[in-house]
Amino acid sequence: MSKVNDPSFIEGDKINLVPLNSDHIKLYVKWQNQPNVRRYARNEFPITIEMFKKLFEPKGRTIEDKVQFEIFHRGDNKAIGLAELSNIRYSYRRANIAVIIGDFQYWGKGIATEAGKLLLKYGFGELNMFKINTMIYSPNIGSWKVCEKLGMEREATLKNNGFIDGEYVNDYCYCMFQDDWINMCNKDKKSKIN
Amino acid sequence: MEEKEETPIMNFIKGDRINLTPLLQKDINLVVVWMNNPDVRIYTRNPLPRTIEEVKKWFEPENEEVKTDVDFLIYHKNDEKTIGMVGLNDIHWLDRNANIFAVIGEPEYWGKGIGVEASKLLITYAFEELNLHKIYTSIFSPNERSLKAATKIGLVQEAILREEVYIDGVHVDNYKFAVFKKDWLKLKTDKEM
Amino acid sequence: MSTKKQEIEPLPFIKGENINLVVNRSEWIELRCKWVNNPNNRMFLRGPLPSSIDQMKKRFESRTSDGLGDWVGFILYHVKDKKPIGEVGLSRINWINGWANAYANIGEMEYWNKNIATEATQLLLKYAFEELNLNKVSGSVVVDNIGSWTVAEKIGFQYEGTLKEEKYIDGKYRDEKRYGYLKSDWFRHKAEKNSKVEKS
Repeated sequence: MSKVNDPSFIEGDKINLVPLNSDHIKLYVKWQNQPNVRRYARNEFPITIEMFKKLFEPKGRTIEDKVQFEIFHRGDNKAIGLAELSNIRYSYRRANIAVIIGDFQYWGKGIATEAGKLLLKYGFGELNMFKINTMIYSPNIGSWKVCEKLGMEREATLKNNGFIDGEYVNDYCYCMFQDDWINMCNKDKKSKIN
Repeated sequence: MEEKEETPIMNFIKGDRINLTPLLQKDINLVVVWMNNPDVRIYTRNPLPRTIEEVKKWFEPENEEVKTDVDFLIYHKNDEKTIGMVGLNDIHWLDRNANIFAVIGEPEYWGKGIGVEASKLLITYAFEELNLHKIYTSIFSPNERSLKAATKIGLVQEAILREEVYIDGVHVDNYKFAVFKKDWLKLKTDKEM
Repeated sequence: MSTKKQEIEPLPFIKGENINLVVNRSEWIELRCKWVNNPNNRMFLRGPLPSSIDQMKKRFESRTSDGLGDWVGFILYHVKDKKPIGEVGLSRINWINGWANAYANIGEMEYWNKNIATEATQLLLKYAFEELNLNKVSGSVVVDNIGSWTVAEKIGFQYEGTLKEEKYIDGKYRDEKRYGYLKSDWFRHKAEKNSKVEKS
């Protein structure tokens, strides 16, 4: 029996970002429907397995306005979440990012931060984006703290932009620019050498 | 352990250390791993993640009257394993030219001249069997390994196209290499003398 | 009943001096087919295979405006003479590399050598760099097609190399010259032009 290679597309420390795997569709759908995952992920409608199956159908085009990954945990050899760039607008060189850690035992372990870092590196370093955005609801403290850790800037607050758990909530707009990301990378390199 | 009934290796072109074999649907899983492996894909213009389903669709046999691509797997004879892929695409039959590509998917086979051997076999096939006039390829400036291989193979640099591809945070140049049938055959006979 | 052809209203997308770049219309497919198949011209365009109306219709209908297609094309509409005279556009657009191929074809021969191609290409480049935010636009010209490469050089495309014996046209292999225009070239030329204007 040949050894199965770790799935890979972007390699991180604890995790890799890998292409979606049709064998894991049920997992993906389970995560997206879980109440404590979907609450802040803006999924107020149920997502079916059929909807996900559509993603694996052959596309007419070579490029889409979304790039989706599975988050694969290297040490434990399993899929633990999803990460994506969406709303990609090539002539503006702008995209949105989002991360879902579907498997709870991986919350609070820096996984979301690592996934975010890999997404930024991919967006700026491979897709040549100029600006990367994300929107986080204000009560979702864990997630916007991750954005701040990543070095993203809160550029605006959209008032009462979402309706969650019976009340209106604010929406924080976070962003990062390519130059800032390059500067951060250079600083990281220098501090590693020193 | 019982061995699954294996499809026999079908040699299409025989070389020294390697043979070129046809790309079968069962091999696609391996090809997809290579396409996604960050160390392998970096200079092959593949910035998007590829699922098995979409790649299977690309390599599905088409009812086209005229083929515009020909793909082969590189099979290492001694180690009895498939280690890469080589082929022609963008075949223009009226201009009688085509692009050649080669990918060694298994990193332990890098730096051993396998890419050079596979490319030579393919180019000979292109000129002597497909009767093409010109074979060309694109190599990006940071890809030193391939640039060295190109000269070893006998390809000649034709042009440097500035800033054509975005790799690892910067736009890099595209070096275009080519070889003509008459020059290739001459190279071969020079060697044989 | 009048036999006068119905005037088809052009929808300008980019306005120039002598010509506008207007939205393609299905009513013009036959005209475009005629231009592409014109024996005086066609060898430098698609080549020896005839383009049928059906093929062109299919390609036309597959277009979308979602910014993800690999082709954007316009018809050149002569403002004074009120008629479509050619086409221009970007093909093989690669959004991740920010690269596209430019093509231009003045289909109506009486408009050759009148600086139309120059104006059309300038408008197209402005669109490519200032609206689509591309990094580079390339053009290939068959060496024998002298008219085309003098236009390219006049506008400021940089010669990047010659691909030998690349195309088989009219009985023999022809060389193809490759030209490239970078976003940085475009903005630099613009700045130079502006500073010249300020000085005068």
